Amino acid sequence: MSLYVYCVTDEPDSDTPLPPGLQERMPRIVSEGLLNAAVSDFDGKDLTPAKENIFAHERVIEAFMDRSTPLPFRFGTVVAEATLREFLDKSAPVLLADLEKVRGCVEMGVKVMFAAPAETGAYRSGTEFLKAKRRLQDFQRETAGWVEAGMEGLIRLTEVSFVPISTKNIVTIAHLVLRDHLNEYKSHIEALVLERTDCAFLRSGPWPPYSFITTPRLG
Amino acid sequence: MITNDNKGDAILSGFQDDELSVFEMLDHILAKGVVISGEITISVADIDLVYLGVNVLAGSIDTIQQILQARDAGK
Repeated sequence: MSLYVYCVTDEPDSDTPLPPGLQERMPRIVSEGLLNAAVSDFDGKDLTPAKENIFAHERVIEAFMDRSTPLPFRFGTVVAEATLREFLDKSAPVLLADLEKVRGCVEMGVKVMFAAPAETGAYRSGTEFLKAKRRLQDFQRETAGWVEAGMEGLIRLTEVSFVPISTKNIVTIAHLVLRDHLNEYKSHIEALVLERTDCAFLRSGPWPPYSFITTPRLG
Repeated sequence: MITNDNKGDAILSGFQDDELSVFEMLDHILAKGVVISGEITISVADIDLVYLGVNVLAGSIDTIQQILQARDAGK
């Protein structure tokens, strides 16, 4: 029997009931040192990213989000209990540092969509490619900068990525937002939508802090 | 619950709430999160998950594009 792993936290185990997880199994806690991992028994070796499985994964993690801010595992993590315990033991310093980093926060996502075409195509030299890469990074920083302007004290960290497609530029921004300031954050984005009519916005969240995991991948 | 809350919280109109939730959720859970190396166990008709993830993401972007184009056409 393997274990499906949902998330890890350093909060004490709670008596609050959890929702059913994958394969309709009830989650339980595997404790190792200061860390508690939420798991459920898992039969077989195949797992499809079907809607019901994805929702089951997220549902269990979000039950923990009601109590604290756990570190979510990537969808599809199935391990033997001994492997999980070894991982938690060896990774404890990094996991605990990550938990401290996200404590009291949730992740919010903002996609900013521009009408101007993305810069694409073949580059004639390495220098040309590097210059284009620099322009892209500058564009990302500039976008993140004006999105964040005026949000000092609301967000702890920001992650930015860029999705080049043929007809639109989309900059994907993840903010680690302080829970106590979530409504202010949402209001700020709503005001930005009214102010910046040259682009479109898509706001999502609150999410577990998927974009702020720095845990090393241990074999 | 995640199937009917405001996870999508769409400022951009035109999405079905649950559709947006799935797209955004895939964007997060397929490519991010804690990983125990070599322990991801997912199969979709022998298609590599990373490949699937890119396609799913591209699908969501296509939907966004269609909405933007419809909006532009209506101006």
